[in-house]
Amino acid sequence: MAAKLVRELMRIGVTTCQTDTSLVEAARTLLSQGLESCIVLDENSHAVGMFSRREAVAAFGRSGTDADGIRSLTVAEVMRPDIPEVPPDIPAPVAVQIMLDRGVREIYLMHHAGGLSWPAAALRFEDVLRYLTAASDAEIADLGAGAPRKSPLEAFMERYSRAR
Amino acid sequence: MSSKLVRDVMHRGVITCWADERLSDVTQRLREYGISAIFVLDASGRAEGVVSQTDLARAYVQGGWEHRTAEEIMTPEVLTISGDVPLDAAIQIMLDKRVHRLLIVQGGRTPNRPVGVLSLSDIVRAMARASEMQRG
Repeated sequence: MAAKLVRELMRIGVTTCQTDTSLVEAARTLLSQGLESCIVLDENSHAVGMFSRREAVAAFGRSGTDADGIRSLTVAEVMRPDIPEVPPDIPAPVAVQIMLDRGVREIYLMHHAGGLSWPAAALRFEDVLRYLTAASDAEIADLGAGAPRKSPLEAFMERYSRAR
Repeated sequence: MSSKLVRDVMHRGVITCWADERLSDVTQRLREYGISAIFVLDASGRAEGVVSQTDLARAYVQGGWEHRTAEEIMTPEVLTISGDVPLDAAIQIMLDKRVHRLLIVQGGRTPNRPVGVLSLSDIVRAMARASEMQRG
């Protein structure tokens, strides 16, 4: 059986935060969405780094677990500037090896155009393991480039209702 | 917040598997409980290793994934700590050793009995909660 490609197991749509998002708010987002990391965007929506649970915990440790110290920190102060990246058309095992080499559990597929970079999709260990234990392709129908997804208008309306 | 101990933040209960369990069963259990690692017990019930998502991903890359057992791919070193240790010391250990979790053990009549796990998620949750309490 041929190995799946990254584009068949990736998740379209990536959670992002801004450089001036507070560390605590970004950490809450990771927890509520069950994510290991998110991408940090600057004011031009250009991806400038990655913020993960490990950076949050490291900052918490540096502050002496002091809540006041933590509350004043922004994501820009603690993020890692290198974003681990893979192309969509390589076999999933190769992408997983890259993730192991880089010590990450989520890796990103980035668009680069006009001097800007932004995240389009992510591959997660968790989803690779879902694929490995899935009884049929129907169980992983939410993964891959062909997965059903919301239109930009639907996504906007959903965010709008959440914000109200 | 600086006086917090590991036991104030850890979660109680430890999800385990046996050393000879198939990886397909181990992975199903991770999914069922929504966790990223499982502790591997030997025949005497002692934690002898841990199988994490990373170990499973490595096994996938190596091939023959479905025929292997927990014992064959586990990380044999289990980092343990007491619940009475200050949280910031535990954080330092996790960062230095680059691990996502520590097994919490208790002394007493049954020394080194696993009672809980301290994970990165537990710490991030504690951080968010502490910040919220101060604000409120």
